[in-house]
Amino acid sequence: MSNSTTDPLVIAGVSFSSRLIAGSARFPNNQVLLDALEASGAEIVTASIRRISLDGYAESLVDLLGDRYRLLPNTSGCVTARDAILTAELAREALETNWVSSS
Amino acid sequence: MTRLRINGEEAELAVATIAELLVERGIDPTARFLAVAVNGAVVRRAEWPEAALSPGDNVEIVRPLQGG
Repeated sequence: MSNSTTDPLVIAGVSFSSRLIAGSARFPNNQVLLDALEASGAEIVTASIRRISLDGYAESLVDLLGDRYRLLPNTSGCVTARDAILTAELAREALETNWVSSS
Repeated sequence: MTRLRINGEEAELAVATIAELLVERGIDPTARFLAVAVNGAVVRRAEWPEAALSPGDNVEIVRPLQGG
């Protein structure tokens, strides 16, 4: 299945052949998420910004997704404007992107 | 020893900079997709080796995860 189109979606000068922005939450496991993303043809995938475990850094699925998809950070879970702004700023640093979505 | 609040947890650690804090916590400072804020302000990655921590600092260490 492909969502390819001859009319690309262009955001801030970046062209996408798929208009689908895929969420990454609530999949039953990582393989289902990977399979769903592959089948969807999506090129943009959402990511949340979360505190890391202080037990040490372990690679997350997002480390893998980042090479294949454009990760779109969001401010989900923030309860104040200050939280949302800081989370967006952290996302910009972590993902080296000025893009952010609110949800 | 420096008393810090790290991701909401109090800790007293012998670290002087953000880079030292990450290493002490078993986090590779060169790992991709990391971001750090101190007292509500983002500290750029390039500044981690020199960014001094002071007693009472509130440090947030984050990375992207599935969600949203």
